[in-house]
Amino acid sequence: MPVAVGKPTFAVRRFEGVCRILEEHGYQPSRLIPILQAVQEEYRYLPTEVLTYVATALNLPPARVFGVASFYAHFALAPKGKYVIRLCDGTACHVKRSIPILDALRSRLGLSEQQKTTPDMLFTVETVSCLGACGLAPVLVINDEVHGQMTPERAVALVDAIITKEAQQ
Amino acid sequence: MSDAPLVNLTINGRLIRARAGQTVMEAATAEGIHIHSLCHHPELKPEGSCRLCLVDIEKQRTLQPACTFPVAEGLVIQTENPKITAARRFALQMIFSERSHYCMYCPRSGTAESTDCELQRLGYKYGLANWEYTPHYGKDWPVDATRKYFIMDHSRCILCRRCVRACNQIAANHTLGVGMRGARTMIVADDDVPFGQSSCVSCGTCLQVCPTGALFDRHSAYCGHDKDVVQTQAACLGCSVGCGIQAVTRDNQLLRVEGDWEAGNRGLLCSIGRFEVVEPKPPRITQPLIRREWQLVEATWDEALAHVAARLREAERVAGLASPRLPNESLAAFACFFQEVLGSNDVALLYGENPPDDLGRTATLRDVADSDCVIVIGGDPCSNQKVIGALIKRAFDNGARLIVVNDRPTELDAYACVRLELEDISHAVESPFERLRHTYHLRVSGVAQLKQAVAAAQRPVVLYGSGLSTTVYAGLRVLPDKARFVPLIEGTNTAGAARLGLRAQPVHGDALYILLGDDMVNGHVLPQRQFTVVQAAYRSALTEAADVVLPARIWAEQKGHVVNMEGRTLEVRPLLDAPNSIQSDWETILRLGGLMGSALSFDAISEMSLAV
Repeated sequence: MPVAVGKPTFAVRRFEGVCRILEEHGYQPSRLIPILQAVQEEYRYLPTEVLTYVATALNLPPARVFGVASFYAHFALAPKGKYVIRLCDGTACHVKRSIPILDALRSRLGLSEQQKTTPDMLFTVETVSCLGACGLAPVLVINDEVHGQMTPERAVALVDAIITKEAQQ
Repeated sequence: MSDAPLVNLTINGRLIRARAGQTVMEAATAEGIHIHSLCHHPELKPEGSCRLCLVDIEKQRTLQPACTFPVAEGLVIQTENPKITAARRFALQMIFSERSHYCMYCPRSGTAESTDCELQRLGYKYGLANWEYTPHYGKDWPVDATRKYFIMDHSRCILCRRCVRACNQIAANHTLGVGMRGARTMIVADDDVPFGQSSCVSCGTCLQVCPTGALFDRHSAYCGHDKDVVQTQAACLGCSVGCGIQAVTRDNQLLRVEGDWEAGNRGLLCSIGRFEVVEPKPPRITQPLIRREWQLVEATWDEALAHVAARLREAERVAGLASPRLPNESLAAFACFFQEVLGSNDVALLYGENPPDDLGRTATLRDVADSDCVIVIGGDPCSNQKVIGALIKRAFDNGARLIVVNDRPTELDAYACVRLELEDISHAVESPFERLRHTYHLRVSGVAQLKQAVAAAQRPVVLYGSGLSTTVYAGLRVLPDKARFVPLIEGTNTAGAARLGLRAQPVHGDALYILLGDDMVNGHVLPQRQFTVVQAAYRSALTEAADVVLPARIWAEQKGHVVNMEGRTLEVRPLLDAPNSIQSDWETILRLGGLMGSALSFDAISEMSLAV
């Protein structure tokens, strides 16, 4: 059945990345998680319309795709900042006083438990259950960069350095 | 499953035999041993999420859920002991402390004897008098009231996922799913949109399987517990599928309609059969009405019938139109009245077309759901016979191939592996020209494709609509014998009417007698006659234009039989008493026959309808 195709619009261009990812994974429903990971890499989060698009393309119910996307902490359904700070609050990091670091970061950036991303979309601060680097506790990861043996002061210094760098650009 | 080897096991000291592949729950239930459960439902695939069906199985390290544990030779199982009771109490305590189970506001709440809530019943049974764990009511669980017919209160949800499984496995609609994780887990629709804006088709299957009051019906909530109401097995008269229903009535009111698990529709109903039937209707006609000085005024039965008899006698030619929603008995009486009393054969159906029923062996509703190759020719089951549409989607989910042959786009196109035009199968006998095209691969004949598909399948089912060309039906006649057929008949009892010789066709006459029953015919404009009598249950454009209106019973007050699309005769049982002692259609017609000096007898009518 020929499908009527209109002129590519902005919306279509926006989905080009998703189409490429789906193509790479051969439109296989069983590869849903790797596809979502790749989509998140592309957009830094999983927009609702992209989830629906992925569901339709893979011939899966949208509820199933949403279920998977909302189940894993790794997937973000809301836009995240340019720098995602993941602070470990696993057992080892917690006893090595990770919470004061979290409080310091939040007060420096004006964030809270509810609001995890700064309004300028520069930082997102969240906790994770374990980063698997307990030997370096307390640990935080800024995007893919690991920083061990943190203190509140050093964490704030890291954030300040990024702010200065961003301001120069 | 039935030829699986037998295994021996012991449950509560009783030696029982079960089929390999069955679960402990199924084996126990078959032996009449009840195992408590919240998430298990016999019509759904087991999930094992509530941990209430835990049983003690020898040589197993921990207690095992009976609903998912497969039977095996030599299992020794205990379904009740102190260890199990403690585990169940623990599970119940966890469920009760998870969300806000404030029973007093819930429509399903009751005493230990009267409660309709499966959770509350277990709470009573296991003596849960207080919270052992601090209830987690910090979160405001939403109430989603965006659906027209029923409401979801997430605070009463125990995440048994029966609704999700019903939506996926029974309705094959895939709207519901599970979102988030842990204590934040929620039942979601599509990508977490309000239910009213989702792809939900309001079939209400989720509502029927919900073990708590999380999903409840707007119409029947707080109208009585299960022990206060009367449940009657009946047939839905919404369309020609004739689904099995459990009608829930109380004090001569229809509260709710539920799907009959035992019937061919296997519990599934559509929004029309489940919800529309209890929706508000136009004003009921309880007294005969006669037009006097341009106005319809109330009259007595004697007056009205005498008036009708006189005017019909005066008329040169009387024509009759009947609704195909009526049972055989009403239609037979109507046809008899025209033949015997009026000597007119100008009697027809208001609408509804019966496709030929001699294409091959007839399939049942179960055959459709269990088929591995479904061919839909013409018709639009997803709009006109919604339960059939769902059964086709269910077959598709189970791996059936779907071939759609239609000139119009339908919802099923998205599921079809082959999509043909009706013209493609209009060549039963291959013409030399067609053979030429075939030889040069210009077009593979549609009939050849259908033949191939039927031959390759184990249980092929062909559903065909009415009003197709004879060459299309001829094309279907040459399909291999394996194929089983279901006509997609328009109108509930069109098949029964056809057996009485009634079809939809134009009628002519200076007087018109319309037997409408509770049918709502919208946009039907009939030419003005000298005299029109309408026998109807509700006021409508047709009754407003009539010269005489006679009251009629609605579907739930009628007694009789209808013939569904499978060709099965279904019993129509009276669920309610008619108001103002309105007679059934055939009684009215007999009285009218008597007034017109004819010896129409009940026996003749019942003989005629029995012959159907």
